[in-house]
Amino acid sequence: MSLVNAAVSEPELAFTLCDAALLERLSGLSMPLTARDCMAALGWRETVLPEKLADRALDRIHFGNEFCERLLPHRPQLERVVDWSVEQGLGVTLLTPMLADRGIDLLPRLLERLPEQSEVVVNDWGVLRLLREQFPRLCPVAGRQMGKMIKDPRLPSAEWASAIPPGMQSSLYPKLMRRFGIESAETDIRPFAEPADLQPNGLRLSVHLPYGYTLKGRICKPGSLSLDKQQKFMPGHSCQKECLVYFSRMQRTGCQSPHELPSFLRGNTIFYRHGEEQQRVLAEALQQGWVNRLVLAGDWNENRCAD
Amino acid sequence: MKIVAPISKAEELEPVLEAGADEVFFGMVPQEWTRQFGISTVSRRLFGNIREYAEMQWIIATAHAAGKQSMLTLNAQHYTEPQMQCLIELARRFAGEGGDALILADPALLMAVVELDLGIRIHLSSIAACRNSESARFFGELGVDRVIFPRYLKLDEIRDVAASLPDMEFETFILNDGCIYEEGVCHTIHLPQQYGGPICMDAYQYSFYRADGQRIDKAIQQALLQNEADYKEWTWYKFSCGFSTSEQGYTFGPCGLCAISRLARDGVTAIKIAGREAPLERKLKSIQLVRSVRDRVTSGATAQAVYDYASNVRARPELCHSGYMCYYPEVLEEVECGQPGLRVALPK
Repeated sequence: MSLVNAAVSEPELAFTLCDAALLERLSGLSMPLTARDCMAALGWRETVLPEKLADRALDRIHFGNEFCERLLPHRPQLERVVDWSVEQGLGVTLLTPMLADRGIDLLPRLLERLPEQSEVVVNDWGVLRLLREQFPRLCPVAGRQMGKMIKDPRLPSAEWASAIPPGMQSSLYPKLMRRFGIESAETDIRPFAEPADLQPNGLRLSVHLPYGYTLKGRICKPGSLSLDKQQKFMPGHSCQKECLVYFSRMQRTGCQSPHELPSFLRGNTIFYRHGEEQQRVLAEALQQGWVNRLVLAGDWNENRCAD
Repeated sequence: MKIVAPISKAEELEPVLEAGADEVFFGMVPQEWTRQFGISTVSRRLFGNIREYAEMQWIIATAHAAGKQSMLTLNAQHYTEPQMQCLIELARRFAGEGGDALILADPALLMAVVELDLGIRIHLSSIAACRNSESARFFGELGVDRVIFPRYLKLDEIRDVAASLPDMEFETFILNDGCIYEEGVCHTIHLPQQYGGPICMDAYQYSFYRADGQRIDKAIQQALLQNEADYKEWTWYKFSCGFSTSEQGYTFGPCGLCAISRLARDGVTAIKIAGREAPLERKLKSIQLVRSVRDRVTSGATAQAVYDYASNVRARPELCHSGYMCYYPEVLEEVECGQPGLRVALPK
């Protein structure tokens, strides 16, 4: 079953934006905003969605970054994105990463600017606590870093994946989430995924595409580019936000798995691109109506290189 | 300040305690786990786990007889429901035998264990990636007694979290076992070498692109390649400087010895030696090394004196001065600025 031609139910569509400067490209598009137009505006060569959904109006913008504390937006950036989104009739979701205290201290200034009932994707239990204590008017969503599973793009066979199944299907996972006011969770589609991974577990499910993340670090290789050698790779090091400009494709030079998924490094995070298997699983889950929302990688991608 | 050290089998316990460990942690893979789930890992380590309940009982009792504590690690990122049921039974037996603390990472398992009210301390594994005060507060409310910080926190960040929760205990990494990424959000398997090994040590070639599709100019391309070379050098340090030791057998690689003064002053309760799967000799040398620094701090040595000792004890000060071996490289900057003159008064 191919994803593009899949007969699907109608999930919500969200489009992610990390670099607020790219909002200009979306602002010039005719209304209503479709996934196809937005992706083309950001340089995508293909629309990674079922045809039926590609020309449907977007529902929501996911703004910010899930992986790096240094990419927490400045308030004027957030304001621009919020104001524009509200004007377009789009919902707003703020993406937040794991944070040190300094980042936690910056959050209230951002959260207070979000419209009532806006979503905040949390990948840090401290951020969740802050939301619950100080911003109960906002809706927390469990981010991808909370739903643990093996996502190694090098796995030699399905046996390796089945040895450690994902934890999200355990009844304790939604129980934990609901205890803390979470009704929705985001997820990746793992290598050697099975449709059952996406079966309803009591939480509304958002699925990212066309990439999953494999791992992240606090130390950022590209972010050390402009630093003196002795300052590189230190905890909490500064950077020039090189991740907004550069990314690296990764090629294994030793052994290769016949199931190897193409990987790339952007900022401090390694991602893999979905293969046929992930597309098949997603198509089936869409057909079953299990997916509440598709979250499209907007500007955080590896698809716009010139080669 | 307590020294926390790993053991991988019961016979390691006594030498490890004699070397100076105050608390030991170990993993256990019961036979029924292997039978039921067909895998030989409970806690992210394929090797270095005990398998028999009798060993567990002996470890708990022997540690107590020596006035020390033992902790059981059940700290994979996540478990399935049947696995959790099995682990809950294991936790119950460990607590029933008088074990001192469980080291947990999966909040769902943590919640289930706390609900059982086993009368045992809960230590939050570094895998849970608790790195801010709000997060520590969250886990404290969930029933955690001690937070083990993940790697790559700055000393000031540790200080601030510890200061904001004076009733909570905190533990930090102090020696061995670097991790290039963050264990709590690394979703890979340490594959056998024939499949590439751990992803951080796998042979990858990186090709660079601009996200806007433009060409990268030559100077930037050159800088990116140099950055790649620097990163490779950094990883060499993080992988124990080529897995080497000093002539005395002390380990090179990730190390926070010279920060012990700061950590002690700033409210850190325990310092952790990593490396459950390492040979006993490496564990013992590591404990001796950490103890020699900890005892200097406890006896009131100045931070400068501690730094001088810690950076020379392995007779390769240039490795320390690179900064790439450090868990807490900011100490180097303070030394260069002539700042670490503080004298630390600690309870003995």
